Amino acid sequence: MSMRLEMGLFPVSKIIVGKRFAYKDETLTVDADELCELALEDGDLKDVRFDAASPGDSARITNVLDAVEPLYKVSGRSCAYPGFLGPAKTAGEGRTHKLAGMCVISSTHFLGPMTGIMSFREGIIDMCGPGAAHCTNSETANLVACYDPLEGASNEAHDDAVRLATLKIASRLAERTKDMAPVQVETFEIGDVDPALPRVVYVDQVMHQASMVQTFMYGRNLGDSLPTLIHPNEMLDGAVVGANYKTQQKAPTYLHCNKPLIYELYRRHGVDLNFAGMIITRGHHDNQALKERSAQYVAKLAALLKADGAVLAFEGGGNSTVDYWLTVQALEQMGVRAVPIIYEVGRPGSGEFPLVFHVPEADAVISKGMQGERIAAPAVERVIGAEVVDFYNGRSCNVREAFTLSDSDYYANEWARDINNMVGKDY
Amino acid sequence: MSAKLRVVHYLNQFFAGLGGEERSAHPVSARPGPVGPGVLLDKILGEDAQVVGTVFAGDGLFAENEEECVAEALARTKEFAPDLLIAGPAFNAGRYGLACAAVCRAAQEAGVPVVTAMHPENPGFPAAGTSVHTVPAADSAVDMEEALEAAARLGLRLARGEEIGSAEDEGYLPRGIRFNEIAELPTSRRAVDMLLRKIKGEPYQTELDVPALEEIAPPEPVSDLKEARIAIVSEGGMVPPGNPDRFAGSRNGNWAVYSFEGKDALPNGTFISIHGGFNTVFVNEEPDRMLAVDAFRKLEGEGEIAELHDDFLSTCGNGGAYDEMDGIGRAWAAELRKAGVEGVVLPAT
Repeated sequence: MSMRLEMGLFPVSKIIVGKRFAYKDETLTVDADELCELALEDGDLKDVRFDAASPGDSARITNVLDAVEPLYKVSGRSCAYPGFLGPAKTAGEGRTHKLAGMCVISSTHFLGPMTGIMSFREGIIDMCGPGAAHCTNSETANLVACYDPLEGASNEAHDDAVRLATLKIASRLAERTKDMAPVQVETFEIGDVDPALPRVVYVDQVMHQASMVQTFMYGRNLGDSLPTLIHPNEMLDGAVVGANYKTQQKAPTYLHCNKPLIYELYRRHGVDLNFAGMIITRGHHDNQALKERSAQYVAKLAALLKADGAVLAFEGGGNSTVDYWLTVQALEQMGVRAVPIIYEVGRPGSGEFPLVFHVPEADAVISKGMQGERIAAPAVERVIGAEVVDFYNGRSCNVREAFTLSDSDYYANEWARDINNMVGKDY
Repeated sequence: MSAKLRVVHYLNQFFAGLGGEERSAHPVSARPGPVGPGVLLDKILGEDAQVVGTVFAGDGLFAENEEECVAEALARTKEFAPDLLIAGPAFNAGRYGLACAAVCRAAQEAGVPVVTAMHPENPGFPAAGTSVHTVPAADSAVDMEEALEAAARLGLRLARGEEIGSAEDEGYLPRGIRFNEIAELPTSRRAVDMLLRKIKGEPYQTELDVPALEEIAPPEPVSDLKEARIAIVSEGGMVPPGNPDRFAGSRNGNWAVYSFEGKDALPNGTFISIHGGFNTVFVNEEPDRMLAVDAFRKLEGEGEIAELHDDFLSTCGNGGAYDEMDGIGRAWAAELRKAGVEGVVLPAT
């Protein structure tokens, strides 16, 4: 199926929380009252406040759930974030407008008890200082929506409400550009190329475990899903929405819409490879049999795509790595060469075993380096979100002051490693 | 221009020119200036540094009296007030390599920058540990010059207190530790580059050379359950309320012994899970849904097992470091064996 997506870009480098929408010279002014009304219209949230921060600001954002890119479908079959903002029609074709280089960030707290995996794990965004390299969204201009939960709201209900409100706010902002001419238009289409070029698929393993650790595709979580094909353009249009609040592991929705491997494979399509497609699969299946079944499905889909090779990226922690390595093994056994990208679990300089699990077929691994560095975070002028923060290790901290924290306490640290090119090296 | 850096060279009796195995009991000795391959080393060091002294000993003596020999070699080394100690190259001579490693470790602890050279399969290389740098050498003395050049190059940088990069960049042998760097190329680009090389059958170098995991063979079944004492152990983060032993929900290294003594079941409130990696709601409501003391007491009553072991060995395995968990497992096995336990149930989380 030929699918052509035009992405009309409106670059944003500064956001002003104001009274009327305006976009000029990369400065976006938002109408706070309009966005507030939009967020509260369903009656599922008590209140919302807006604040903004740009790269380099002396600002720290806390209690972050998701980061969402403003997308709006000017033409095409679907809406942006299909399944949430409209029917689950196939996305990825027509024209999308994007406020590029910015995100709407959701920041909130939960009222219900937090136990085990079904808890929000604090992750912070530092807009300046040494921590900026350890989190995502330190490089984007951010409109932060700070939500208060309805009294008595369950964690699940509040999470759903925040997600929907944030997607709506983001898309509304992009909608305001629908009659404007984009600064730049990028076109994404997997055209026919020299059939002699090696066929490469992208296998993207996302996380699903329970509420607070899930991923949505076309509005539905991937709990009972089998690995499936997805066109990379669907990802660019917001078909996949992240809802994993294990902060260091998580892929924000912004990353799902901007996976580095999608851009890399598009860049090289017809040059030195043939981008043969994309497979989305979930991690953390409950038992060995389901993990093996899922791995076999990925390998079979890749073989059906006549893939010569697969690059794999991963969201998750220890248990999910078993799914991941079994997938690498199944691909290799199916004759599809595999190169997985992974972060290491051995702490820097420790000599600890670098992985939770491994298969001998994985002999070509790309490293994102290892967590466990301590970062000295400076005092900041502004904290957006709560100033006193409970970190995963049980420590409570006033984060307006200078303090030290683990790199894994930074928002989406494993993806920050990817986009900032961190690598583990033998010493 | 500053004064030349002072280098001490450690050799065995053979390279010190004393003789082979027949002189391997030679005591630790020292001489000013270079000896044997030290003459070549001195030439390689050039204008910046010089071999001010040579310390040497018989390999046999060193192997038999390592502690004393190390102390003596260190004392002799210090007399030369060195800026750097270079030991070897030991090539693939095992006892010589072990002596180089031991002398380097001691000198490094005493604050002297050190470097040694040997073949990667020399037992002295792992013995050098994670702090001493070892540059590669051939398995015999044919490539003396190359090994000395590598040792001198890295050694002078160490002596000057320069920051030393990765094994790949600096040309020393990986010491089993890793650190983060920023790669020159984007992560995704490196992945696609490596994949294309793999598809085309071209050479590629993984960024993570994973050590092989130990194969663990399942033990033989318990021969007679009716006669067996059975223990329940867990990595599920099960602790008495209040978490008295301060288990961490992730990256935990603690373990503790709790007791099932006098308990026919584990009602709500007896244990909670502080594990950060699974949904703990159901286990916290009813701890037996993980530990199943109720079921085992029933089996005990029916005579299906002889006895449920009173001691409950508990830890939290979420995100646990492999070696740390391996250590806990071994400690538990020893405890349980001592207590005469014949079978162990480890409920997975």
